[in-house]
Amino acid sequence: MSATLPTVSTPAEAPPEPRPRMFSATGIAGLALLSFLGALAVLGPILVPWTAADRDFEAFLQPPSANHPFGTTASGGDILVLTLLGLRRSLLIGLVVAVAATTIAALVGAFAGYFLGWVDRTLMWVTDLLLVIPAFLVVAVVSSGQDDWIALVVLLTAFMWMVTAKAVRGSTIVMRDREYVKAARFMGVPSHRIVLRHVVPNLASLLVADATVNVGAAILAETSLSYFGFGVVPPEVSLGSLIADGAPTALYAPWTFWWATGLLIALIVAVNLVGDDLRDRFDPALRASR
Amino acid sequence: MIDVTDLSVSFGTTPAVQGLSFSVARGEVLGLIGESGSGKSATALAVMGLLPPTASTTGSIRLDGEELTTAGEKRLTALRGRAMAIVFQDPLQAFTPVHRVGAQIAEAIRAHQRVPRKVAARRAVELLDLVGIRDPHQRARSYPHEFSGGMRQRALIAMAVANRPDLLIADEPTTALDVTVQAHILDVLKTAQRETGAALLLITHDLSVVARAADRVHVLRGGLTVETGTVEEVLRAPRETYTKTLIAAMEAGDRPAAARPVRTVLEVRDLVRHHPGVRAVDGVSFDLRSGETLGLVGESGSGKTTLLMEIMALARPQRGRITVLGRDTAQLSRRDRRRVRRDLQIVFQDPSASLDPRMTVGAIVAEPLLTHGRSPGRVPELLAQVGLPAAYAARHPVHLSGGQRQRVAIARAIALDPAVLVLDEPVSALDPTIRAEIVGLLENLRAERGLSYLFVAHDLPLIRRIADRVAVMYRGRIAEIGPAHQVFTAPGHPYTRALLRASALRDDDPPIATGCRFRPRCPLYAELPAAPRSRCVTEEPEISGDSGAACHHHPGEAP
Repeated sequence: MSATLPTVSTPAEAPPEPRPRMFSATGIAGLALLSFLGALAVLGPILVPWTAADRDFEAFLQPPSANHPFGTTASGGDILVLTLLGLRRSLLIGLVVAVAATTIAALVGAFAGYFLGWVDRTLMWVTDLLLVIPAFLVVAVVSSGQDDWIALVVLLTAFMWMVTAKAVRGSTIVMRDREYVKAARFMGVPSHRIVLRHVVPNLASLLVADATVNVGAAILAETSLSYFGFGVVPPEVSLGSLIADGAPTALYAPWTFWWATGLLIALIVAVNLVGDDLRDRFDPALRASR
Repeated sequence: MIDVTDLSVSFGTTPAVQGLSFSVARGEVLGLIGESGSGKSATALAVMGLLPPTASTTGSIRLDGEELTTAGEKRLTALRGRAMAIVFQDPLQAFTPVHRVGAQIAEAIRAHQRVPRKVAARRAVELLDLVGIRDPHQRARSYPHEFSGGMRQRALIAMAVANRPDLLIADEPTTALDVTVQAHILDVLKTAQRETGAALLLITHDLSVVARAADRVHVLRGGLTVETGTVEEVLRAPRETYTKTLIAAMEAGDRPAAARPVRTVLEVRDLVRHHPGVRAVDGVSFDLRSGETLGLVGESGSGKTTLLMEIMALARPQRGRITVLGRDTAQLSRRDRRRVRRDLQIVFQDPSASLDPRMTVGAIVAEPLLTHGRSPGRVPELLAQVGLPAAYAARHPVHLSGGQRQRVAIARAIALDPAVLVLDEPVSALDPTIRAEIVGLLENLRAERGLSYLFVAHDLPLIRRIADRVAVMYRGRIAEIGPAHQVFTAPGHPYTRALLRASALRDDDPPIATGCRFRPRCPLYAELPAAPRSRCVTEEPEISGDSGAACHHHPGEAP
């Protein structure tokens, strides 16, 4: 039988070795900025000689000076330490909420889209219900007067995953007909393992992009809540509450407003740069073409 | 007409075409044959002036004496569609889905000729008629998705010849089509070419296409010309080993006939699977015995894939019965189903779709082992069995070639030592020489492990080589089944005969509700006198026993 086989060996095409993972220039910039902000948020408040509760009765609403590098508030608080504490709180809320919301979205969407039937109907009923509830009002009312940041994280997360879950569900419905998913099913792999091993990882680029956007969205949501006096309440500070406090004096004492605003912008830019890079990396097709 | 001298194309430092020279005269057909990466498509793009800016071209391309390599973009745009036109492989992508077919052809005419809208529309209908589309007035108002693949390809040919080009380039025009439709499209292409007197450059990887349609042939490999000559010369007496390999890969050798083994591993009885509006599988029966290979052939839409998916689902079918290794799938418990899965594995057509792109080769091959609680320590051994170095376990599928990926898919399928392997067109996405290697691998595995194969393919010589028995499917039913030797040498069903001769059959007929479903396309039915005909209209032919043809009038059947 094998006598009729043409004796041709596989052409000596050596496929390239998988390249070491390299961050792109923008990714490195974003990562550097994010690490810098993270270090600031963690170490900064320790290094600054002032604390959030301190009042300097010799300096009310003073511009930046050697004693107070970022200036002081109308009540004599040191803006540097307040801003760093605000950054710490905002960074924490943003990252935790984004990761939690995207994880919930991935699981709900993938399970609904893969199993369809009653699983899908139940999960999508919950999703739709949360979508029609006016999230901002609920979070504002429930969280007002509390100074528990974990409760705020839970509330923000609860209202942030639904749209992504719907997108994930749609992609999963397409993906369940992919041959590698069928191959796994025909191999006898249990359904929940197929979802976790084959479906969710292949949505990684969507999910990373979504988590990136969510970091910004969560920080902004917390900022807006705090701005309106909900969310983070004194004596705790966040970038949002600082911006809210500084806004009235922004015109004649810009240092009360611009430090917090600038850090917020830098933080969101950094997260987006890192997110773009991660998304490209998580797409194997893009990775191969590089 | 077209004169290419010493053409070289390279992308960066990678040469795609090197020192290629050929010419095609008016009314002549030149076949450009080669595997993927041989530079045939780069040649077509170079002639059309459609190469990306990253490509660098040297040499000369002259159309009617006019140099094209130095021509400006404006001049090329004027020439494209009017002096030269191209027919692509995938006609669905060549049409805009939201416009009617007739309007798109008329638009192509009006792009190059100042004619009123009405005249262009009339001309579009004439062109559809020329390429053999039935009821062209009606069809001109259809949208592309309402056409079958063959009809779309014909419409695309109509569009290409709309402005009577001097040069017609057909890039794999039949690759996406079924055998009988392929033959028809090639005939249409030749008719259209005769009508317009164009020179035809036919690019393909399929020797049988060249054999059927071309006057001269040019064999390419890795950008270099291997051999050139008239089709007769090259196919009869190839000079180069590479050409010989290509021809050998096309030709069939019979599998020696043997007595059927006794043990049945897979039995399908009267299986029915209807989707809303489509009777995808409509009463199919066959059995597969231990160590046997059953080849399943049929055009796209004949229900082959639905049939395989029904078997693989191991669930209760809509109607009928599936028995795998003596166990009725309708009565399997969840645990039994998992156990049966060990013995029934599948290899899909396209390994780039069937391997999870995010997993490494090692993880892919280990998955069935881990799923069924075995040690993944066998992975290097399995990779060795399919001829891959153990070091490949760390790679991702994107870093492998198509043939290597299919080897990974086969390693995964045999990891659990199954008894039955379902192969859904396992080599049709691969190049001919790679295809021969994979087929060789499958043959060796079968011999070593006593596997039974249910082998779906549309490549008849391949089925003839690998299968013990053959089942021909047509619109949800088996038209003919029997020992491969018998089906290939003495086909009983007119459809099988058409498939084997690659006779041209039309593909735009409505499905039939009663009687023989092959009737509208049947050459035998067309010749029958009225009396025996009535039986074809009223009565659905059946196959009794384990071989035969579903035709009232085939030689073995009493008239």
